[in-house]
Amino acid sequence: MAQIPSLDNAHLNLASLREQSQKELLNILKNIRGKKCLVIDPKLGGSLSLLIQTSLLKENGAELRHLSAEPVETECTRILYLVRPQINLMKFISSNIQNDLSKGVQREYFLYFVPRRTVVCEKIFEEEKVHHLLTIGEYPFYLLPLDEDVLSFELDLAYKECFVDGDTSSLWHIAKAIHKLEFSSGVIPNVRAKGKASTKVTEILNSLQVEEPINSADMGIPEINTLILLDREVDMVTPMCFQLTYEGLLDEILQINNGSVEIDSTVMGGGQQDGKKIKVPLNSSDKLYKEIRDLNFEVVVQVLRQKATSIQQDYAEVKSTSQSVSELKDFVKKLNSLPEIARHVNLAQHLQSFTCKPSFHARLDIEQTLLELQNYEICFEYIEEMIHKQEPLVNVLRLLESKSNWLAIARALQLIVEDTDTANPNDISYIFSGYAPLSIRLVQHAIRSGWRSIEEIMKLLPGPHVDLKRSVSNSSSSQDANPVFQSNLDRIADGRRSLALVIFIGGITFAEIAALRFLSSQEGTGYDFIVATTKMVNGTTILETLMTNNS
Amino acid sequence: MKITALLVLRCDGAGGSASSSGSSDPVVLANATDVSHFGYFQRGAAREFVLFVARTVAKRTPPGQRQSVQHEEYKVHCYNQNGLCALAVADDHYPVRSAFSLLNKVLEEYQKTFGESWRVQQTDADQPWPYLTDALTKFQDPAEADKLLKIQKDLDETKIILHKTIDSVLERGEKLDSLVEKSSDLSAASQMFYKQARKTNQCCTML
Repeated sequence: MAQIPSLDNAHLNLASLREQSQKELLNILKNIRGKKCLVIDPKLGGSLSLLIQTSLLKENGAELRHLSAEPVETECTRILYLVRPQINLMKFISSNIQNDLSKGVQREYFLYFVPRRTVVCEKIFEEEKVHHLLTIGEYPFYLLPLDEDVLSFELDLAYKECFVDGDTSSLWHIAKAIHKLEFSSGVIPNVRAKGKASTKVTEILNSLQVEEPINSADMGIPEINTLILLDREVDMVTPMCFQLTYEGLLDEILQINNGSVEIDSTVMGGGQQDGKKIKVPLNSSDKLYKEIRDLNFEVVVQVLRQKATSIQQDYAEVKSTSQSVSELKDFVKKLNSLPEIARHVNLAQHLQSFTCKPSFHARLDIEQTLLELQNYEICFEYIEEMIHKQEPLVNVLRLLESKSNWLAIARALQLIVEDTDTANPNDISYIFSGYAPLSIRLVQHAIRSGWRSIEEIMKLLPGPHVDLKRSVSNSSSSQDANPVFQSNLDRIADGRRSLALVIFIGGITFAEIAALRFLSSQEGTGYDFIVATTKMVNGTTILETLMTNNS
Repeated sequence: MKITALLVLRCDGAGGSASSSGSSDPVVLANATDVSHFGYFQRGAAREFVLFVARTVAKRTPPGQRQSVQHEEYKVHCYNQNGLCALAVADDHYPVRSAFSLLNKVLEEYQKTFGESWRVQQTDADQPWPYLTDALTKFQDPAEADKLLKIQKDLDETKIILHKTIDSVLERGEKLDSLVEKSSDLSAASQMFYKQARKTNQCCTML
């Protein structure tokens, strides 16, 4: 099963987007003649593993290495550094080069920034007096398809940068990526943004449209009808809730990185206890995974049992009664799904070893109780108990998120839902067994009738919001091609399905993606969603980023 | 070489012994007989003769068995497939193997067309079965019957290969039974994530 996800069923031509990125990277390699050592920073390497097969890179003469403080071990005389513009990485490169110089090693150095070069980074090389040795370029890689409906900007630190450090270069990156997308899919007419960062991105997008206008007159109807931008800050509650969908649970317990989880081989039926770990890719190319990833875990185990039992029954029939050739062939086809079933039964079993613990259920109780603002006193006692027992600090922090105005918001948006049927849900609240993610409720309102109807609630949530319709005036006079902005709401009411691009700045959780997919499948929604995020997150990773950077 | 008649009969009872009192005569379900090579005035008697021979041989062919019986200048081939019999009245030259291929085919077609309705048939059928009449003409040439044999052989080989494939897939990797067991355990042990607190009105039972 491929680790690089198939994009054949995407609503947008993501396959060509990815192909474009592949071509650009290979061109960079081809422009350097002969064998070269390609040194990539490890995080970027992870992203690239979802973009292009390493064999393809090797075919183009690249020897692959990870960038670290240690000097690069290679015989190559040409070194190509492919890195994000981060100061610590520049220092590694600089020390690599200094090391070579001190040993009298003669090499040609190429440095390609991803996605663009920055003055700050280049200054480091000037200071270290190695700038003249570098040939500098850019690899404009802005968007990575994680799956057929999920895109990532691969911006690790976006949340902290924007909201803690006040550094907005990641916002420029996002706006630039959208703008690039619009060159092929058309200017997105409806834009709804909530939050400081999101509204800033809208501003940058508008100025990009002025600098490099997209001539919509040549293109047909824009492929994407609505752009919704949300700051993570607007809903910090949802990521703090333990995710209960299959994919969400996998992320919470095993950490999904670059579309796969790493686990002991014994979990997957490896046999030997040799501590070996294997990578299990998780994307929509795995047909069974696509079916169960967004279901509440309670339901997933039932589905797996059903599938395994059904094959067992069919097998019994095959063995006992005489079957026609076509019946036998059908059964063989069914058997092809057996490895997938086995894979997920093993994973589910592993997950259940966590979820069956009383501490897990107690923790869910707390969460749910906090969400309903009931019995605060008892909860605080429990939290003190946890601190006393030295439960990982992260878990404790998660439970101490303060939610002012929460009650009003929860009531108005119907976040707490009684009697959720997780097996046959009719509302996104099935995702958290009775709590509808606030962020997705906002998206629901955005596409249904705009945010006007919940104006009062929007004021209770952090950051400004924007509701506008963009149009590009006719290109009869190219000097006059200024975008016209109106703030009236307009709905496409012709019964066709529309495509909405939903962008989370600061990260999105798998559970929220599941909620969007569910929303899309509901009758009456009329929208398909493509999700873009700075990075996939969960409560733990958000807090870890904040904590490590504060120390 | 010639096939004079093809018949399908229903025979219960063990058959085999001449005096099986109490066991009924086989019922004729379909009959295709060609007596055109007889003189006009002998045709009636010939037909009767065919019926008599067919019933006799069928009665004496135990279920699950095939047999060929020489009667005067005729060879009678009969296959009793668990009570449903196909029978051919042929001459000495018609190859035995081809005859039985043909009988297999006749039985297959009969079951496809009539299902299990033959089990309750008590009297001889009075309507001809078109397929059988056509078959009598078509399979005068044993080569046609041999083709059937080849198709059947190919099908059987394909089935064997498929069965082997199935077995090897199930040998490899996770055993199907253990998978079912694991997933059943999982679903049995699975607990609702729904609000215990709200339901029972108590919160945070400590571990």
